[in-house]
Amino acid sequence: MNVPSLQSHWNLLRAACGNLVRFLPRTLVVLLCLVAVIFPFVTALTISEGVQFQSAISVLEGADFYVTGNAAGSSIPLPMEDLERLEALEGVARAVPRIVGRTYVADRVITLVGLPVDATPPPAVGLNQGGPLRNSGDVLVGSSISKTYDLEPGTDFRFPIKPRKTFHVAGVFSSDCTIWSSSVIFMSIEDAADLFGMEENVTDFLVYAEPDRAFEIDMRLQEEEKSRRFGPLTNIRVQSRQLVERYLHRGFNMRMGIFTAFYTVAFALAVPALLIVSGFGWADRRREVGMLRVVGWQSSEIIEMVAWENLVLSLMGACIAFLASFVWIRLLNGLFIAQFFIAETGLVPDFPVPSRFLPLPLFFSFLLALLLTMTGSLYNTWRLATIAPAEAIR
Amino acid sequence: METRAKGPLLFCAILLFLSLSVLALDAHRWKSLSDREMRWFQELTGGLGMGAVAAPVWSVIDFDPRLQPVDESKLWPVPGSYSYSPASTSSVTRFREVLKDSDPAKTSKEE
Repeated sequence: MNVPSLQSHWNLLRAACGNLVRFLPRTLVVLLCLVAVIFPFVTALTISEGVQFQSAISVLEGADFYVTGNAAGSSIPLPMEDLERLEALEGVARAVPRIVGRTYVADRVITLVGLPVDATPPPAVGLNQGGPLRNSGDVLVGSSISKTYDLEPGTDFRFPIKPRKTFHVAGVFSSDCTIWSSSVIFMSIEDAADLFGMEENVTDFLVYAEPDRAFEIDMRLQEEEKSRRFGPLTNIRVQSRQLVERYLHRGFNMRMGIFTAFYTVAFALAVPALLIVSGFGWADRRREVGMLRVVGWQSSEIIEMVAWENLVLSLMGACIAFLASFVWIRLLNGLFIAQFFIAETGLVPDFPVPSRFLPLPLFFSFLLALLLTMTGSLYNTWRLATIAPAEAIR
Repeated sequence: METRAKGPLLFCAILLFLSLSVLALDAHRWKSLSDREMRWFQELTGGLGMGAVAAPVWSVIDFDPRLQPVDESKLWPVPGSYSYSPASTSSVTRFREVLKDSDPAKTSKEE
């Protein structure tokens, strides 16, 4: 190991740190810019990881197959009588009809889910108030809806689409039941059919396969799907767990699609911004470089010192943005900012904002900061370091 | 110059230590995280919700592609109604229709 050479690098690092203190306003402005650029990047990645975890549970605990009606490429309801056809398929453990729709409670869009009451899992571990459905008209409401409209257990209310029918709040979902439970209303399938006027139709059938027979059922359902023998008029669309898993993987990989598109704009604006702020106090830097050249510094040493400055600044910027993201998401539960990453959360989220802090976003943030600062200063430094010292001092 | 150098280096070391501590704490929290309520809710509803959207505003596909794999609200303005929806209601997730293996329209580009 070349010890004197190592010592010279260490000295340059110390000189760079000294410069950061000496040009404190410039250091602070660059740090602020870096944090402003990196913060949304880290926050989006951590929230995406958290949502992905909940989404994986949704797929895992969901049905093996989702069977819906299909007409002209759109999902349509299927008649309830098709349930018998599905149950008769060999290898099917059970088939459950379901109605899922969207409607309003006051001025807010909610998801309405109706399933047979006897198909619901027993102990209501996900309810933090009230109990399970017992009578017709009973509903379970999401924590966010309950809080916004004071729908506590025992309260009666009506939907704008059917004002004559009264519903009774039996229980309130815990806010820990995933982000999608916050704006959901759950009721019996009979009540849901009555509310939407669907009579003897359902939006989809949930098909659960016997162990190791999913492939067999998949083949049979695909035959049904192609032959159009399912129901008198309608075709069906079958979505297997395998297909849904592909949605999961692609949907979360594609996040980089939409988010990068948005982020490219921010990045494109950040580069010239940093170019400008890096030139903040550039007159002092110009004189300093000239003096260093006069006292015998090499151009490469000056460039290395600036690179060290950028490295320290980038490390600081990435860490500050990472810590700020942690405090804002985990301790303040994404107050004000969660709505930019999870739609329909409002200014103050009523549920724990899902997030997972992993090393990779921190590392990427550091690289991003380094790229920005290097772009902003290395070229200018190289130009100053290669001109005549007298010219630089002047 | 040398005495000034200690400040930024120390500050940098503290920030790095805090960041690594946060990573370690979060990893520990993640291991002990209870998903009992989440599993119960998903079992109750038969699997509901996949995207970073709390309610199915504009397009259902962003909320859960199992419910509506096609975003019909984006097709074209409906006469007398609202125009097409925003490109996506979520900024961190995005679903597009997945074509089945048996679908002859599937292209290599799609995959």
